[in-house]
Amino acid sequence: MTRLKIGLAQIAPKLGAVKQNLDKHLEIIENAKNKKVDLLIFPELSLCGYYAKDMYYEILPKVKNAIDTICKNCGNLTIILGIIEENKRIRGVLHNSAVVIENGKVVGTTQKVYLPDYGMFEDMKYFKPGNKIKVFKTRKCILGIAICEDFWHPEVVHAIALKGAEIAVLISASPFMSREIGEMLNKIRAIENTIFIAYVNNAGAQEGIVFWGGSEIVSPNGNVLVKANYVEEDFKVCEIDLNDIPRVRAGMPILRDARKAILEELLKAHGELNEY
Amino acid sequence: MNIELPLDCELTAKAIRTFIKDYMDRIGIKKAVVGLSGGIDSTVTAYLAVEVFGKENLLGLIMPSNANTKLDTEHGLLVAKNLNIRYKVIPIQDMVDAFEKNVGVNEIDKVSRGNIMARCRMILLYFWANLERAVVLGTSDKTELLLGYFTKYGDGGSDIMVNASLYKTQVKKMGAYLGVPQAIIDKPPTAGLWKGQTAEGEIGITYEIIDNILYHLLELRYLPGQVINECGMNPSDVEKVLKMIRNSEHKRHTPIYPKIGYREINWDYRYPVERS
Repeated sequence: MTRLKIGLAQIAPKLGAVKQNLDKHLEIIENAKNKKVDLLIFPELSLCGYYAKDMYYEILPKVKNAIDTICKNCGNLTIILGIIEENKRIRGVLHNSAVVIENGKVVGTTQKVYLPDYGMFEDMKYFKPGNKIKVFKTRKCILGIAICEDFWHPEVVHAIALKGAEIAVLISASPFMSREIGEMLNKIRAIENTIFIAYVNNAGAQEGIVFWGGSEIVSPNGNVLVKANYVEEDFKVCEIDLNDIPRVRAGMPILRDARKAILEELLKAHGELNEY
Repeated sequence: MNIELPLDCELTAKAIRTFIKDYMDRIGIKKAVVGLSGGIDSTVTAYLAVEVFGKENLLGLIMPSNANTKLDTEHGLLVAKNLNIRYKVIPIQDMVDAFEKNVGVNEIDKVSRGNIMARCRMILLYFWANLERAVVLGTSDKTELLLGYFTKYGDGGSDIMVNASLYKTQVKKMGAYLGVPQAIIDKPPTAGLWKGQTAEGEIGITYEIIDNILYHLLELRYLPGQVINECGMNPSDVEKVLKMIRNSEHKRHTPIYPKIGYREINWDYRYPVERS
Protein backbone atom coordinates (compact mmCIF):
# COMPACT_ATOMS: atom_id res chain seq x y z
CA MET A 1 0.00 0.00 0.00
CA THR A 2 1.59 3.21 -1.07
CA ARG A 3 -1.48 5.41 -0.89
CA LEU A 4 -2.82 6.91 2.28
CA LYS A 5 -5.45 9.39 3.30
CA ILE A 6 -4.39 12.26 5.51
CA GLY A 7 -6.85 14.36 7.52
CA LEU A 8 -5.87 17.91 8.46
CA ALA A 9 -7.86 18.88 11.55
CA GLN A 10 -7.46 22.65 11.61
CA ILE A 11 -9.22 23.45 14.86
CA ALA A 12 -9.47 26.55 17.06
CA PRO A 13 -8.79 25.23 20.57
CA LYS A 14 -10.16 27.18 23.52
CA LEU A 15 -7.41 28.26 25.85
CA GLY A 16 -7.27 25.98 28.89
CA ALA A 17 -10.65 24.35 28.13
CA VAL A 18 -9.32 20.80 27.78
CA LYS A 19 -12.73 19.11 28.05
CA GLN A 20 -14.22 21.26 25.31
CA ASN A 21 -11.17 20.73 23.12
CA LEU A 22 -11.25 16.99 23.74
CA ASP A 23 -14.88 16.86 22.60
CA LYS A 24 -13.88 18.57 19.39
CA HIS A 25 -11.05 16.08 18.85
CA LEU A 26 -13.44 13.15 19.37
CA GLU A 27 -15.97 14.62 16.96
CA ILE A 28 -13.33 15.00 14.25
CA ILE A 29 -11.93 11.53 14.98
CA GLU A 30 -15.38 10.05 14.26
CA ASN A 31 -15.66 12.14 11.12
CA ALA A 32 -12.22 10.95 10.01
CA LYS A 33 -13.14 7.32 10.60
CA ASN A 34 -16.17 7.75 8.33
CA LYS A 35 -13.95 9.24 5.66
CA LYS A 36 -11.52 6.32 5.93
CA VAL A 37 -8.65 8.58 6.94
CA ASP A 38 -5.38 6.81 7.78
CA LEU A 39 -3.41 9.62 9.38
CA LEU A 40 -5.21 12.37 11.30
CA ILE A 41 -3.27 15.44 12.40
CA PHE A 42 -4.24 18.12 14.92
CA PRO A 43 -2.24 21.34 15.46
CA GLU A 44 0.30 22.38 18.11
CA LEU A 45 -1.05 22.27 21.69
CA SER A 46 -4.42 21.26 20.30
CA LEU A 47 -5.76 19.95 23.62
CA CYS A 48 -5.00 22.95 25.78
CA GLY A 49 -4.42 25.96 23.53
CA TYR A 50 -1.19 27.80 22.85
CA TYR A 51 -0.92 30.85 25.08
CA ALA A 52 -1.91 29.34 28.43
CA LYS A 53 1.01 30.81 30.44
CA ASP A 54 0.80 29.76 34.13
CA MET A 55 -2.26 27.63 33.33
CA TYR A 56 0.05 25.06 31.67
CA TYR A 57 0.98 23.65 35.07
CA GLU A 58 -2.63 23.39 36.17
CA ILE A 59 -3.99 21.72 33.06
CA LEU A 60 -1.28 19.07 32.70
CA PRO A 61 -3.34 16.34 34.47
CA LYS A 62 -6.36 17.10 32.30
CA VAL A 63 -4.23 16.77 29.17
CA LYS A 64 -2.94 13.38 30.35
CA ASN A 65 -6.50 12.14 30.85
CA ALA A 66 -7.61 13.49 27.50
CA ILE A 67 -4.81 11.57 25.75
CA ASP A 68 -6.10 8.35 27.37
CA THR A 69 -9.58 9.07 26.03
CA ILE A 70 -8.25 9.69 22.54
CA CYS A 71 -6.29 6.40 22.68
CA LYS A 72 -9.51 4.55 23.50
CA ASN A 73 -11.28 6.16 20.56
CA CYS A 74 -8.60 6.05 17.87
CA GLY A 75 -9.94 3.03 15.97
CA ASN A 76 -7.77 2.30 12.93
CA LEU A 77 -6.45 5.83 12.77
CA THR A 78 -2.94 7.04 13.36
CA ILE A 79 -3.44 10.30 15.25
CA ILE A 80 -0.96 13.09 15.91
CA LEU A 81 -1.78 15.96 18.22
CA GLY A 82 -0.05 18.71 20.15
CA ILE A 83 0.26 18.32 23.93
CA ILE A 84 2.03 19.58 27.00
CA GLU A 85 4.10 16.70 28.30
CA GLU A 86 5.85 16.16 31.60
CA ASN A 87 9.45 15.07 31.29
CA LYS A 88 9.71 11.29 31.72
CA ARG A 89 12.40 11.52 34.40
CA ILE A 90 12.02 14.91 36.02
CA ARG A 91 8.66 15.81 37.51
CA GLY A 92 7.40 19.35 37.00
CA VAL A 93 9.45 19.89 33.85
CA LEU A 94 7.26 20.48 30.81
CA HIS A 95 7.76 20.01 27.09
CA ASN A 96 5.78 21.32 24.16
CA SER A 97 5.30 17.99 22.41
CA ALA A 98 3.49 16.01 19.77
CA VAL A 99 2.10 12.58 20.54
CA VAL A 100 1.60 9.74 18.05
CA ILE A 101 -1.32 7.46 18.84
CA GLU A 102 -2.35 4.23 17.12
CA ASN A 103 -3.81 0.85 18.03
CA GLY A 104 -5.27 2.33 21.21
CA LYS A 105 -1.99 3.52 22.67
CA VAL A 106 0.69 6.16 22.61
CA VAL A 107 3.47 4.92 20.35
CA GLY A 108 5.73 7.89 20.98
CA THR A 109 6.16 11.57 21.59
CA THR A 110 8.51 14.12 20.16
CA GLN A 111 9.51 17.38 21.82
CA LYS A 112 9.76 20.80 20.20
CA VAL A 113 13.48 21.46 19.79
CA TYR A 114 13.37 25.18 18.99
CA LEU A 115 11.41 27.06 21.61
CA PRO A 116 10.91 30.63 20.42
CA ASP A 117 11.78 33.21 23.02
CA TYR A 118 11.56 36.50 21.17
CA GLY A 119 8.90 39.08 20.38
CA MET A 120 5.53 37.73 21.46
CA PHE A 121 6.76 34.17 22.02
CA GLU A 122 7.37 32.76 25.51
CA ASP A 123 7.85 29.03 24.91
CA MET A 124 11.20 29.02 26.67
CA LYS A 125 9.60 30.49 29.77
CA TYR A 126 7.52 27.36 30.26
CA PHE A 127 9.08 24.46 28.35
CA LYS A 128 12.30 22.53 28.12
CA PRO A 129 13.51 22.00 24.57
CA GLY A 130 13.84 18.49 23.16
CA ASN A 131 17.18 17.38 21.71
CA LYS A 132 16.14 14.50 19.49
CA ILE A 133 14.85 14.26 15.98
CA LYS A 134 12.73 11.13 15.86
CA VAL A 135 10.93 9.29 13.12
CA PHE A 136 8.00 6.97 13.69
CA LYS A 137 7.16 3.90 11.66
CA THR A 138 3.40 4.06 11.73
CA ARG A 139 0.83 1.73 10.16
CA LYS A 140 0.85 3.39 6.77
CA CYS A 141 3.99 5.51 6.56
CA ILE A 142 7.21 6.64 8.16
CA LEU A 143 6.95 10.15 9.53
CA GLY A 144 8.78 12.71 11.57
CA ILE A 145 7.27 15.66 13.41
CA ALA A 146 8.41 19.27 13.65
CA ILE A 147 6.59 21.76 15.85
CA CYS A 148 6.15 25.34 14.62
CA GLU A 149 9.50 27.12 15.18
CA ASP A 150 11.23 23.82 14.36
CA PHE A 151 10.58 24.21 10.68
CA TRP A 152 12.00 27.71 10.50
CA HIS A 153 15.31 25.89 11.05
CA PRO A 154 16.16 23.83 7.99
CA GLU A 155 18.15 21.15 9.81
CA VAL A 156 15.08 19.74 11.59
CA VAL A 157 13.16 18.64 8.52
CA HIS A 158 16.47 17.74 6.85
CA ALA A 159 17.25 15.36 9.70
CA ILE A 160 13.72 13.96 9.54
CA ALA A 161 14.22 13.26 5.83
CA LEU A 162 17.70 11.77 6.26
CA LYS A 163 16.32 9.46 8.94
CA GLY A 164 14.06 8.00 6.32
CA ALA A 165 10.71 9.69 6.85
CA GLU A 166 8.30 9.91 3.96
CA ILE A 167 6.19 12.62 5.51
CA ALA A 168 7.30 15.56 7.64
CA VAL A 169 4.33 16.43 9.81
CA LEU A 170 4.46 20.09 10.77
CA ILE A 171 2.12 21.27 13.49
CA SER A 172 1.95 24.88 14.53
CA ALA A 173 0.29 27.75 16.33
CA SER A 174 1.47 30.24 13.75
CA PRO A 175 0.23 33.80 14.20
CA PHE A 176 -1.33 35.92 11.48
CA MET A 177 1.76 37.91 10.52
CA SER A 178 3.74 34.75 9.69
CA ARG A 179 1.41 33.48 6.96
CA GLU A 180 3.37 34.46 3.87
CA ILE A 181 6.69 33.19 5.18
CA GLY A 182 5.06 30.06 6.60
CA GLU A 183 3.62 29.15 3.23
CA MET A 184 6.98 29.71 1.57
CA LEU A 185 8.73 27.56 4.17
CA ASN A 186 6.35 24.66 3.64
CA LYS A 187 7.21 24.61 -0.05
CA ILE A 188 10.92 25.10 0.57
CA ARG A 189 11.11 22.32 3.18
CA ALA A 190 9.27 19.97 0.81
CA ILE A 191 11.58 20.69 -2.11
CA GLU A 192 14.92 20.83 -0.28
CA ASN A 193 14.16 17.41 1.23
CA THR A 194 11.94 15.94 -1.51
CA ILE A 195 9.50 14.90 1.18
CA PHE A 196 5.77 15.25 1.73
CA ILE A 197 4.87 18.09 4.10
CA ALA A 198 1.63 17.71 6.04
CA TYR A 199 1.13 21.07 7.72
CA VAL A 200 -1.60 21.72 10.29
CA ASN A 201 -1.94 25.12 11.90
CA ASN A 202 -4.27 26.40 14.60
CA ALA A 203 -7.27 28.48 13.56
CA GLY A 204 -9.23 31.11 15.48
CA ALA A 205 -7.86 33.47 18.11
CA GLN A 206 -6.46 33.06 21.61
CA GLU A 207 -5.56 36.09 23.73
CA GLY A 208 -5.91 38.24 20.64
CA ILE A 209 -3.40 36.12 18.72
CA VAL A 210 -5.09 35.20 15.46
CA PHE A 211 -3.83 31.98 13.88
CA TRP A 212 -3.88 31.98 10.11
CA GLY A 213 -4.92 28.38 9.51
CA GLY A 214 -4.10 27.61 5.89
CA SER A 215 -3.16 23.99 6.65
CA GLU A 216 -1.89 22.15 3.60
CA ILE A 217 -0.18 19.16 2.12
CA VAL A 218 2.79 19.89 -0.11
CA SER A 219 4.17 17.23 -2.44
CA PRO A 220 7.91 16.40 -2.57
CA ASN A 221 8.27 18.69 -5.58
CA GLY A 222 6.53 21.63 -3.95
CA ASN A 223 2.96 21.42 -5.20
CA VAL A 224 0.15 22.25 -2.81
CA LEU A 225 -2.18 19.22 -2.96
CA VAL A 226 -4.82 20.45 -0.54
CA LYS A 227 -5.38 23.73 1.24
CA ALA A 228 -7.55 24.59 4.24
CA ASN A 229 -9.23 27.96 4.68
CA TYR A 230 -7.45 30.84 6.32
CA VAL A 231 -8.19 31.78 9.96
CA GLU A 232 -11.34 29.68 10.43
CA GLU A 233 -11.71 26.05 11.46
CA ASP A 234 -11.56 23.57 8.61
CA PHE A 235 -11.15 19.84 8.03
CA LYS A 236 -9.53 18.65 4.84
CA VAL A 237 -8.83 15.13 3.67
CA CYS A 238 -6.35 14.33 0.93
CA GLU A 239 -5.03 11.08 -0.47
CA ILE A 240 -1.34 10.97 -1.28
CA ASP A 241 0.81 8.41 -3.09
CA LEU A 242 4.09 7.63 -1.35
CA ASN A 243 5.48 6.40 -4.67
CA ASP A 244 5.72 10.05 -5.63
CA ILE A 245 8.78 10.20 -3.37
CA PRO A 246 11.11 7.93 -5.41
CA ARG A 247 9.68 9.42 -8.61
CA VAL A 248 10.60 12.95 -7.51
CA ARG A 249 13.92 11.88 -6.02
CA ALA A 250 14.94 10.24 -9.32
CA GLY A 251 14.77 13.66 -10.91
CA MET A 252 15.89 15.73 -7.91
CA PRO A 253 18.45 13.62 -6.02
CA ILE A 254 18.92 16.17 -3.26
CA LEU A 255 19.03 13.68 -0.40
CA ARG A 256 21.35 11.36 -2.34
CA ASP A 257 23.75 14.27 -2.77
CA ALA A 258 23.59 15.51 0.84
CA ARG A 259 27.19 15.48 2.05
CA LYS A 260 28.47 14.78 5.51
CA ALA A 261 31.59 16.83 4.86
CA ILE A 262 29.43 19.87 4.21
CA LEU A 263 27.27 19.25 7.26
CA GLU A 264 30.49 19.01 9.25
CA GLU A 265 31.35 22.46 7.96
CA LEU A 266 28.04 23.55 9.44
CA LEU A 267 28.93 21.98 12.78
CA LYS A 268 32.33 23.67 12.69
CA ALA A 269 30.67 27.03 12.06
CA HIS A 270 28.38 26.39 15.01
CA GLY A 271 31.39 25.67 17.19
CA GLU A 272 32.93 28.97 16.16
CA LEU A 273 29.65 30.75 16.86
CA ASN A 274 29.58 29.31 20.36
CA GLU A 275 33.20 30.22 21.02
CA TYR A 276 32.56 33.87 20.20
CA MET B 1 9.19 59.14 -0.31
CA ASN B 2 5.96 58.06 1.39
CA ILE B 3 4.88 54.48 0.87
CA GLU B 4 1.37 53.15 1.14
CA LEU B 5 1.18 50.90 4.19
CA PRO B 6 0.35 47.36 3.04
CA LEU B 7 -2.97 45.86 4.12
CA ASP B 8 -4.89 42.82 2.90
CA CYS B 9 -8.31 44.20 3.85
CA GLU B 10 -10.30 41.04 3.26
CA LEU B 11 -8.09 38.73 5.29
CA THR B 12 -7.39 41.31 7.99
CA ALA B 13 -11.12 41.99 8.43
CA LYS B 14 -11.64 38.24 8.78
CA ALA B 15 -8.85 38.04 11.37
CA ILE B 16 -10.18 40.96 13.41
CA ARG B 17 -13.71 39.54 13.38
CA THR B 18 -12.41 36.12 14.37
CA PHE B 19 -10.57 37.74 17.27
CA ILE B 20 -13.76 39.44 18.45
CA LYS B 21 -15.91 36.35 17.99
CA ASP B 22 -13.55 33.92 19.72
CA TYR B 23 -13.01 36.27 22.63
CA MET B 24 -16.72 36.87 23.11
CA ASP B 25 -17.43 33.13 22.92
CA ARG B 26 -14.77 32.56 25.51
CA ILE B 27 -16.09 35.12 28.02
CA GLY B 28 -19.73 34.32 27.28
CA ILE B 29 -20.93 37.84 26.49
CA LYS B 30 -22.99 38.54 23.41
CA LYS B 31 -23.38 42.32 23.35
CA ALA B 32 -21.20 45.36 22.82
CA VAL B 33 -21.43 49.12 23.23
CA VAL B 34 -19.51 51.50 21.01
CA GLY B 35 -19.28 55.28 21.03
CA LEU B 36 -20.01 56.68 17.57
CA SER B 37 -18.20 59.98 17.11
CA GLY B 38 -18.84 60.11 13.39
CA GLY B 39 -15.10 59.72 12.79
CA ILE B 40 -13.33 57.02 10.84
CA ASP B 41 -12.08 54.98 13.83
CA SER B 42 -15.40 54.45 15.59
CA THR B 43 -17.11 53.93 12.24
CA VAL B 44 -14.72 51.17 11.14
CA THR B 45 -14.99 49.62 14.61
CA ALA B 46 -18.76 49.47 14.28
CA TYR B 47 -18.62 48.17 10.69
CA LEU B 48 -16.26 45.36 11.71
CA ALA B 49 -18.11 44.51 14.91
CA VAL B 50 -21.67 44.47 13.62
CA GLU B 51 -21.05 41.32 11.62
CA VAL B 52 -19.92 39.49 14.75
CA PHE B 53 -22.47 40.76 17.27
CA GLY B 54 -25.44 41.18 14.94
CA LYS B 55 -27.28 44.47 14.63
CA GLU B 56 -29.51 43.83 17.64
CA ASN B 57 -26.54 43.19 19.95
CA LEU B 58 -24.48 46.27 19.09
CA LEU B 59 -25.48 49.52 20.78
CA GLY B 60 -24.11 52.79 19.42
CA LEU B 61 -23.87 55.83 21.71
CA ILE B 62 -23.67 59.24 20.10
CA MET B 63 -22.44 61.63 22.79
CA PRO B 64 -22.02 65.15 21.44
CA SER B 65 -20.68 68.11 23.39
CA ASN B 66 -20.54 71.78 22.41
CA ALA B 67 -17.13 71.09 20.89
CA ASN B 68 -18.62 68.82 18.25
CA THR B 69 -20.03 69.95 14.95
CA LYS B 70 -23.50 69.07 13.76
CA LEU B 71 -21.83 67.05 11.04
CA ASP B 72 -20.14 64.79 13.65
CA THR B 73 -23.53 63.90 15.09
CA GLU B 74 -25.02 63.43 11.63
CA HIS B 75 -22.24 61.06 10.70
CA GLY B 76 -22.72 59.12 13.93
CA LEU B 77 -26.41 58.79 13.10
CA LEU B 78 -25.60 57.83 9.53
CA VAL B 79 -23.40 54.96 10.74
CA ALA B 80 -26.09 53.73 13.16
CA LYS B 81 -28.71 53.86 10.42
CA ASN B 82 -26.51 52.29 7.73
CA LEU B 83 -25.77 49.37 10.03
CA ASN B 84 -29.31 49.33 11.37
CA ILE B 85 -28.03 49.03 14.95
CA ARG B 86 -29.70 50.30 18.11
CA TYR B 87 -28.42 53.74 19.11
CA LYS B 88 -28.91 56.52 21.64
CA VAL B 89 -28.04 60.17 21.44
CA ILE B 90 -26.84 61.38 24.85
CA PRO B 91 -25.53 64.96 24.89
CA ILE B 92 -22.76 65.31 27.48
CA GLN B 93 -22.38 69.08 27.81
CA ASP B 94 -24.41 69.32 31.05
CA MET B 95 -22.27 66.63 32.65
CA VAL B 96 -19.06 68.32 31.52
CA ASP B 97 -20.28 71.67 32.84
CA ALA B 98 -21.19 70.10 36.18
CA PHE B 99 -17.71 68.62 36.49
CA GLU B 100 -16.10 71.88 35.50
CA LYS B 101 -18.09 73.79 38.12
CA ASN B 102 -17.04 71.39 40.88
CA VAL B 103 -13.42 70.52 40.20
CA GLY B 104 -12.13 73.32 42.39
CA VAL B 105 -10.52 75.72 39.93
CA ASN B 106 -11.96 78.81 38.33
CA GLU B 107 -10.37 78.57 34.90
CA ILE B 108 -9.99 75.25 33.17
CA ASP B 109 -7.72 74.78 30.15
CA LYS B 110 -9.05 73.18 26.97
CA VAL B 111 -7.02 69.99 27.26
CA SER B 112 -8.27 69.31 30.80
CA ARG B 113 -11.81 70.08 29.69
CA GLY B 114 -11.37 67.79 26.70
CA ASN B 115 -10.22 65.00 28.98
CA ILE B 116 -13.34 65.47 31.13
CA MET B 117 -15.41 65.05 27.97
CA ALA B 118 -13.61 61.87 26.97
CA ARG B 119 -14.02 60.48 30.49
CA CYS B 120 -17.73 61.41 30.60
CA ARG B 121 -18.17 59.33 27.45
CA MET B 122 -16.30 56.45 29.07
CA ILE B 123 -18.66 56.58 32.08
CA LEU B 124 -21.69 56.48 29.80
CA LEU B 125 -20.29 53.61 27.74
CA TYR B 126 -19.65 51.59 30.89
CA PHE B 127 -23.05 52.50 32.30
CA TRP B 128 -24.73 50.99 29.25
CA ALA B 129 -22.30 48.07 29.19
CA ASN B 130 -23.24 47.25 32.80
CA LEU B 131 -26.91 47.63 32.08
CA GLU B 132 -26.86 45.46 28.98
CA ARG B 133 -24.17 42.98 30.09
CA ALA B 134 -22.03 44.11 27.22
CA VAL B 135 -18.39 44.89 26.51
CA VAL B 136 -17.14 48.35 25.61
CA LEU B 137 -15.41 48.44 22.24
CA GLY B 138 -12.29 50.58 22.11
CA THR B 139 -11.88 52.43 18.84
CA SER B 140 -8.30 53.74 18.97
CA ASP B 141 -6.04 52.97 16.04
CA LYS B 142 -2.36 52.09 16.25
CA THR B 143 -1.21 55.57 15.24
CA GLU B 144 -3.16 57.22 18.06
CA LEU B 145 -2.08 54.59 20.55
CA LEU B 146 1.59 55.05 19.69
CA LEU B 147 1.44 58.84 19.76
CA GLY B 148 -0.57 58.79 22.97
CA TYR B 149 -3.22 60.77 21.14
CA PHE B 150 -6.03 59.63 23.40
CA THR B 151 -7.30 60.28 26.91
CA LYS B 152 -6.12 57.85 29.57
CA TYR B 153 -9.25 56.16 30.97
CA GLY B 154 -11.29 58.23 28.53
CA ASP B 155 -11.39 56.92 24.98
CA GLY B 156 -8.46 54.80 26.18
CA GLY B 157 -10.83 52.95 28.52
CA SER B 158 -12.42 49.87 26.97
CA ASP B 159 -12.65 46.10 27.13
CA ILE B 160 -11.47 45.13 23.69
CA MET B 161 -9.86 47.22 20.98
CA VAL B 162 -10.83 46.54 17.41
CA ASN B 163 -8.53 48.82 15.36
CA ALA B 164 -5.45 48.73 17.56
CA SER B 165 -3.34 46.86 15.03
CA LEU B 166 -4.16 49.21 12.15
CA TYR B 167 -2.42 52.51 11.50
CA LYS B 168 -4.67 55.46 10.72
CA THR B 169 -4.12 55.29 6.94
CA GLN B 170 -4.88 51.56 7.09
CA VAL B 171 -8.11 52.25 9.00
CA LYS B 172 -9.14 54.52 6.15
CA LYS B 173 -8.29 51.82 3.64
CA MET B 174 -10.28 49.31 5.68
CA GLY B 175 -13.15 51.80 5.82
CA ALA B 176 -13.22 52.02 2.03
CA TYR B 177 -13.18 48.22 1.80
CA LEU B 178 -16.08 47.95 4.26
CA GLY B 179 -18.19 50.50 2.40
CA VAL B 180 -17.95 53.33 4.92
CA PRO B 181 -19.48 56.55 3.48
CA GLN B 182 -16.80 58.52 1.62
CA ALA B 183 -17.54 61.72 3.57
CA ILE B 184 -16.48 59.98 6.78
CA ILE B 185 -13.30 58.62 5.19
CA ASP B 186 -12.35 61.97 3.69
CA LYS B 187 -12.92 64.35 6.57
CA PRO B 188 -9.87 65.27 8.69
CA PRO B 189 -9.61 63.16 11.86
CA THR B 190 -10.29 64.99 15.14
CA ALA B 191 -10.42 64.11 18.81
CA GLY B 192 -13.39 66.50 18.95
CA LEU B 193 -12.36 67.92 22.31
CA TRP B 194 -12.52 71.59 21.34
CA LYS B 195 -13.94 73.54 18.44
CA GLY B 196 -11.87 73.42 15.26
CA GLN B 197 -9.48 70.80 16.64
CA THR B 198 -7.96 68.51 14.04
CA ALA B 199 -5.42 65.85 14.85
CA GLU B 200 -3.10 66.79 12.01
CA GLY B 201 -3.39 70.48 12.84
CA GLU B 202 -2.57 69.86 16.47
CA ILE B 203 0.35 67.51 15.82
CA GLY B 204 1.51 69.55 12.84
CA ILE B 205 2.23 66.56 10.59
CA THR B 206 -0.06 64.74 8.16
CA TYR B 207 -1.18 61.23 9.01
CA GLU B 208 0.43 59.98 5.83
CA ILE B 209 3.82 61.16 7.08
CA ILE B 210 3.22 60.11 10.69
CA ASP B 211 2.27 56.61 9.57
CA ASN B 212 5.32 56.36 7.35
CA ILE B 213 7.60 57.39 10.19
CA LEU B 214 5.90 54.96 12.61
CA TYR B 215 5.85 52.13 10.08
CA HIS B 216 9.57 52.46 9.36
CA LEU B 217 10.52 52.84 13.03
CA LEU B 218 8.32 50.04 14.33
CA GLU B 219 7.54 47.49 11.69
CA LEU B 220 10.71 47.78 9.62
CA ARG B 221 12.93 48.59 12.61
CA TYR B 222 14.66 51.57 10.98
CA LEU B 223 16.71 53.71 13.34
CA PRO B 224 15.58 57.37 13.53
CA GLY B 225 18.60 58.51 11.49
CA GLN B 226 17.73 55.99 8.79
CA VAL B 227 14.14 57.24 8.65
CA ILE B 228 15.56 60.72 8.02
CA ASN B 229 18.36 59.82 5.62
CA GLU B 230 16.92 56.84 3.76
CA CYS B 231 13.22 57.76 3.72
CA GLY B 232 13.79 61.48 3.34
CA MET B 233 11.70 62.40 6.34
CA ASN B 234 11.96 65.79 7.96
CA PRO B 235 14.22 65.52 11.07
CA SER B 236 11.91 67.66 13.19
CA ASP B 237 8.92 65.47 12.25
CA VAL B 238 10.79 62.32 13.23
CA GLU B 239 11.92 63.91 16.50
CA LYS B 240 8.37 65.02 17.27
CA VAL B 241 6.91 61.58 16.63
CA LEU B 242 9.62 59.93 18.74
CA LYS B 243 8.99 62.35 21.57
CA MET B 244 5.25 61.69 21.49
CA ILE B 245 5.86 57.92 21.59
CA ARG B 246 8.27 58.18 24.52
CA ASN B 247 6.19 60.61 26.55
CA SER B 248 3.06 58.50 26.23
CA GLU B 249 4.58 55.15 27.17
CA HIS B 250 2.69 55.22 30.50
CA LYS B 251 -0.62 55.37 28.65
CA ARG B 252 -0.01 51.99 27.06
CA HIS B 253 0.65 50.16 30.31
CA THR B 254 -1.32 49.13 33.34
CA PRO B 255 -0.20 51.20 36.35
CA ILE B 256 3.28 50.42 37.58
CA TYR B 257 3.81 49.18 41.14
CA PRO B 258 6.67 47.92 43.31
CA LYS B 259 7.63 44.29 42.92
CA ILE B 260 8.03 43.07 46.48
CA GLY B 261 6.85 39.48 46.63
CA TYR B 262 7.84 36.36 44.76
CA ARG B 263 4.64 36.27 42.78
CA GLU B 264 3.35 39.68 41.78
CA ILE B 265 0.55 40.26 39.33
CA ASN B 266 1.72 40.30 35.69
CA TRP B 267 5.33 39.74 36.76
CA ASP B 268 5.35 36.17 38.00
CA TYR B 269 1.62 35.64 38.25
CA ARG B 270 0.89 35.36 34.58
CA TYR B 271 -2.48 34.23 33.35
CA PRO B 272 -4.20 34.70 30.03
CA VAL B 273 -7.23 36.95 30.09
CA GLU B 274 -9.09 33.99 28.57
CA ARG B 275 -8.72 32.03 31.74
CA SER B 276 -12.13 30.74 32.80
